[in-house]
Amino acid sequence: MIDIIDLNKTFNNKVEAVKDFSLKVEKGEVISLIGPSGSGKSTVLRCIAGLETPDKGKILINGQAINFRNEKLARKQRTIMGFVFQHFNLFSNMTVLKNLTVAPVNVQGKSEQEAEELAMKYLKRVGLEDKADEFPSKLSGGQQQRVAIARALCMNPEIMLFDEPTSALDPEMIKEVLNVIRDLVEDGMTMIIVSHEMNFAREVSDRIAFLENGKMLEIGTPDYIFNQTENQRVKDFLDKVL
Amino acid sequence: MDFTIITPEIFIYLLKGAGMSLFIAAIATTMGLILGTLGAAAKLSRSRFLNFIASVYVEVFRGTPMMMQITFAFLALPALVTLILGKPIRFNPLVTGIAAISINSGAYTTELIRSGINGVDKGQFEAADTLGLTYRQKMKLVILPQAFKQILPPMVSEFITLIKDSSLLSTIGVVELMKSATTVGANYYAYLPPLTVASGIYLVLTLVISAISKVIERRLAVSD
Repeated sequence: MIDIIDLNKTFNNKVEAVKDFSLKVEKGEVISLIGPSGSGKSTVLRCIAGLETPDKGKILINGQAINFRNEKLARKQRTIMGFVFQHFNLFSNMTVLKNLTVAPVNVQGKSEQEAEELAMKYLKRVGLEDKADEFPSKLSGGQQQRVAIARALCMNPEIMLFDEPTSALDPEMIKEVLNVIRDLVEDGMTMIIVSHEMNFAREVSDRIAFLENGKMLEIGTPDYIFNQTENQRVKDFLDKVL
Repeated sequence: MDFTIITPEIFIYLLKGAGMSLFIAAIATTMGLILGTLGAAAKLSRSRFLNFIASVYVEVFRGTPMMMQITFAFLALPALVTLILGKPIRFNPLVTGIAAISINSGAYTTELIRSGINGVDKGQFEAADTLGLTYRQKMKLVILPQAFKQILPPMVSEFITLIKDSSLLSTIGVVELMKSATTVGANYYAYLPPLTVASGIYLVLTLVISAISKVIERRLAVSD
């Protein structure tokens, strides 16, 4: 479904954030990217979502290469992706409901009523239908992140990208967000998750990729990464965080 | 110090001058807002050329006195135009004055709007991008409404500044509040009463306007 080939990204002509990164994601697959801070996990995700333009490499969506030069076309190609940020990034000038309907109405041309019905359906799914008329600033971090997930789902994406979805949350709110993501996994949603939640990654992922200094050092099933790998860097890292 | 010279007729005459001051400030603020939006768009665009033009505009008009700009527009510019057209031309004081203040205000407003847009969290831009909103939709629906909230208070103080600065147009013969007051003073050989009353009117105008803006700010703060 998504085929990433030899992705390279260097910031300010110095920091090589991503080096020759390749990854093929099949439909229905859940892939976690793990590794130390600054290893390039988020940059990979941001390149896929179009928030960064890679210096080199290709991203194929259902066999079609994203055209990095043509912003309009690239935006259209990326409508199959939903993105969830570490800091939620709900639109602060809109109510929760409006946050969910703004893109379906303006991008997909849905009617206001149709979009609202859809929004309420997803708000119910993340357990926040009673917050529809609140502004984001009135919600807790965990609630904001659940709304952000619902907002992405309203665009009916085929793949969800999660960029450290629980890293900015207080410990007691992490669970409620992970439960929503787990629910999506059970639904068979294709996902790429950048996360520091090792146990969660182990539980939900089909494959886990380990990155360090912009390079993918290992990729395999959770069992392989956690129990079988001979790669010392991966072992050291997991020893430290587990 | 005979305040009885401020008869109802004289007071109404001064109020008319105040009306003119408000009119000048309102037009100049509006024009300044339009110029400032264009200026901010140019400053934030990817075109180096537009960046440069906008920077020159801002620096020139913020770096020279408004009094100079008004006088230049009224006295020096006609000479230049006469030279080019080959026939004498005279500028209308009111139109020239409003244009000069508008262009000056546009330079300040450019910076206000630019910093207002830059003040919006980067994540808001990115979220709009990942949802597939076009640049125009992103600006209209997400960024500008948030920037507007930050821009409103300094825009109101810009309006208040322009009410006061409109008094500079008295030097080129526009009959606004300042000119009305000095005219009354000259007619009665008594400057204290009309200048005191005129000052009071300026003060009431500026206080009322900032009170109104506080109410609006509080209303806009619901989403904070």
